[in-house]
Amino acid sequence: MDRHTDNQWEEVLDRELKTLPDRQAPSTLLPRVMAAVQAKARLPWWRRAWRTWPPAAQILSLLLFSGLLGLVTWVAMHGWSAESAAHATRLLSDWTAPISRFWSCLTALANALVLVSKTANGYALLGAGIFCMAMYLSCVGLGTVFYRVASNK
Amino acid sequence: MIDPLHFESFMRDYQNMVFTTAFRLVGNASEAEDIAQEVFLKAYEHFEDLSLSPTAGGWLKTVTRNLSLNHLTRYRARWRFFSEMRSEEGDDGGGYEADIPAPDTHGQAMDNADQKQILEAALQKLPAAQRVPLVLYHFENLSYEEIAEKLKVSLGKVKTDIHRGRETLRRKLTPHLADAVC
Repeated sequence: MDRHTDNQWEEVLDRELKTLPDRQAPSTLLPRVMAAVQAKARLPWWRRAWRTWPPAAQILSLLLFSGLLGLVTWVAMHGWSAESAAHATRLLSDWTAPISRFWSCLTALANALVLVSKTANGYALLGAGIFCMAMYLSCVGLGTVFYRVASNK
Repeated sequence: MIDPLHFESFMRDYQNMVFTTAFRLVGNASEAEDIAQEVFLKAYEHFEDLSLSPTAGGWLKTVTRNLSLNHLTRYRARWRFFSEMRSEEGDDGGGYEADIPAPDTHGQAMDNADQKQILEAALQKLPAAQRVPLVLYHFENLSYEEIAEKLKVSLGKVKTDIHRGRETLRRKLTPHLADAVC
């Protein structure tokens, strides 16, 4: 084989590979696809892809969407005032009230981290960073092992 | 309204090609079957056009290739680091040859079917980093540049991986394919 140059080997390999026959598809493929096709056919029209909807429904949905888009644009351009902004802010704060406690915890934690970073020396921070990275790599490594075991590779 | 029997017949015509294309790229029969199913469901959505098209085979092949590459990107990226480490260790490893049938030691030429089986097995044993660009080049007739673009890697890496793949196949197949290559 040494007398074959890379180009010759490429040609030989190309010829050999192209003569390989197709593999036999699993016998389960056809029933699986037909079952999936039938399941799709049983779906109501509004749960199928939009382009398969009846033409009337397509036109109506387009009109509704255009109207909604126009309304949003109009409100954004004309209907936005200081009063409505204040009202929206109040509404937003009402909705986010349950997570405000969580937010304050997060802020406290961030402040603590800033304090630690100011007081600790560079080596300690570097050590902590290396420790975190090692933990992360361990997690990824273990994940890889479990994946390979689970998928039998 | 699509005639289920017509679609079934269409599937029978193309299912081996679709499955084989996916299998050679992803290297796993179960994943290839999932991809083939997805391809035929897409084909069903476009069946009114496809059933009359003379290029239906090309359409199916392109969709299969793209879905297989998407699959590889989606599910393998996170393991690539470890896979490449393993494949580099295994490039010259003896374990590779264990799965390839031994050459005929009685001086009788191996028949063509055996050679093809050996070549297919050797191809599947290549690490994904080498097998995927090699399959795209030799089976899908893509250029190095197109492969680099599809796999989102550099042109140099594509050339290196394909060269390594060919060299690995040459080392492993020389005893088996002597009649074909000499």
